[in-house]
Amino acid sequence: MFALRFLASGLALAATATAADDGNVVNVYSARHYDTDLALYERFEERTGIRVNLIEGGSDGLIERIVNEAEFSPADLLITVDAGRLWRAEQAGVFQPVDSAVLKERIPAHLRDPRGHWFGLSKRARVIVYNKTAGLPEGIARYEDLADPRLGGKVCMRSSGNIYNLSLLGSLIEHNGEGSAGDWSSGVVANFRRPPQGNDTAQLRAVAAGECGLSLANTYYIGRLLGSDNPQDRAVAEGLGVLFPNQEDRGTHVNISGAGVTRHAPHRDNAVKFLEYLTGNDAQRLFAEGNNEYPVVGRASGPIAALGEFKEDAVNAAVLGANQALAVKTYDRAGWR
Amino acid sequence: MTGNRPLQRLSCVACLVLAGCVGEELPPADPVSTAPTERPEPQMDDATYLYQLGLMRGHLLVGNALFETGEQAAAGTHAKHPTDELYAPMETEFAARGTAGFAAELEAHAQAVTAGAEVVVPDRYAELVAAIGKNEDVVQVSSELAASVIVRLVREAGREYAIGIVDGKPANAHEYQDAFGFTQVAGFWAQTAAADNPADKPVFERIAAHIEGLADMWPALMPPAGVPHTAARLYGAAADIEILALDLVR
Repeated sequence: MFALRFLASGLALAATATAADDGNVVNVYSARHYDTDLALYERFEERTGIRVNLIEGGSDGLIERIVNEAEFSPADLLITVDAGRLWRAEQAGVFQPVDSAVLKERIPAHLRDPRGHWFGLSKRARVIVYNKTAGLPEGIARYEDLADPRLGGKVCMRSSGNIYNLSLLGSLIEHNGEGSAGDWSSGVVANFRRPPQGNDTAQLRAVAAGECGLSLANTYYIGRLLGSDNPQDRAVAEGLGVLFPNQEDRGTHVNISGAGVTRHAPHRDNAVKFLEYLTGNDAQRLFAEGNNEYPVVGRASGPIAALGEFKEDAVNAAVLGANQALAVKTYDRAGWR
Repeated sequence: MTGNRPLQRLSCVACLVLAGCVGEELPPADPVSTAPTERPEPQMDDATYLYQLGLMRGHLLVGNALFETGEQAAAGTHAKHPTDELYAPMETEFAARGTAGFAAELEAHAQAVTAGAEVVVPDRYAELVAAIGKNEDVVQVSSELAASVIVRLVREAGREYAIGIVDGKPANAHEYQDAFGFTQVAGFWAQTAAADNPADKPVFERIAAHIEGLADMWPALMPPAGVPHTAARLYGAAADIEILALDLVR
């Protein structure tokens, strides 16, 4: 072919003309970026002799890459950090179903896709935080109570477009219906102290400083502050009260980090082995601790263990993604930017 | 990990003579002024800087190939593309890095191509490629940096090919050709890195071979009526190269 003459350079190229490997690898595309994950991969390599090739990126970027790479993708596994993104990946055709007795036994049903496309590997709760000095306003025990007019001018939130808020509203839509979720959104907006701004940690700092009375945040952000080497961070955490909402009914909303085997995985069996390995007790501890999350198997360790145990909402995490588009519209109608 | 060594000027079959830089000379320093001229800060990291130069090389390479096959109009479009779309933001980078740029060589080459000056185009092209090389040589290129540039070029080739070929049919010949140019330059990068970095030579040879394996995606410079390939293959190749490059850091 004509193209070959432009590549001719006189260099003797290696006999192996392709990126073929010996099959003893698993290619992991991961949106997680924690040092403890590296330890996880090393242990897997030591135990199995299967080398882990890690490609890191943002969730949406990795999903787009796998879709673009299609049947030529070397990805065996996608690990991402939110149920909504797992759902998006599934909708984009990124995953293939996996039927594993180990995964079914180890991972609770509500934390894995009913059709086996993805599996939760760690979880986090979205909790109400309040200024400890001011105390929790009387009667506040559920997410729904954040719309109580008594909280006017006391509530601070991050943007409605944030995936964690979208997933929470997705769960409220599932439990209470679209109309009620819309009323709730409007009620919370009416209670805003300020327009939505900042991330979860910004809300925590604002609440601890007394700028806001209440907010919502993921437990791992609290865990980070609790476990920080910076005494100012720890002071922020100590200034916060934490409420696990809805303990008297359905339980607190949880979201997951999880993974699935990709549709065109060139090393499918190795990918399943790796997934099963991640549900082992030691792996679970490392995986969860890396981001101050709760394991899906066993109990929490690290700073968030101090928050205590709680009843979690057992709605399937798939619902959070499925209701995402409706959650966007609901927030928009409520004026929650 | 290998040490950092300057990347040698990329070789090119179409470069018959590697002429010296013919860029404009800087004006003599004012003898009265004693204040040193401060350079602006680079706005691009080294990978982006080299990648942008790689894109320009790719446009010029495919343009030159088209000129050689008598496709003067298409060649002219590619010859002007770096000036039209890529060069301006690079001027700050050249100043920041203390290098002269190659605006004059770009213009001279584009004029020769547009004029169909068959006798002088090879020399103008050789001078231009040499000048680009001088602007690349100011960067210390590690194996990891070279691999990063290669991945980006192949991935961009995928984006171009996705526009160039749609459902197996040519939709935009220019983009299809750009994809060829960028992939070729990526291959040159791999070959040069293999030559310059003995410790990483096996990895770069595998990368070069992987890129060479993509050659059938361009059965001709002007796309035929049916092209049974998709951009996914280039995206997948970029990912494969990214994985191969993991061996550079072990």
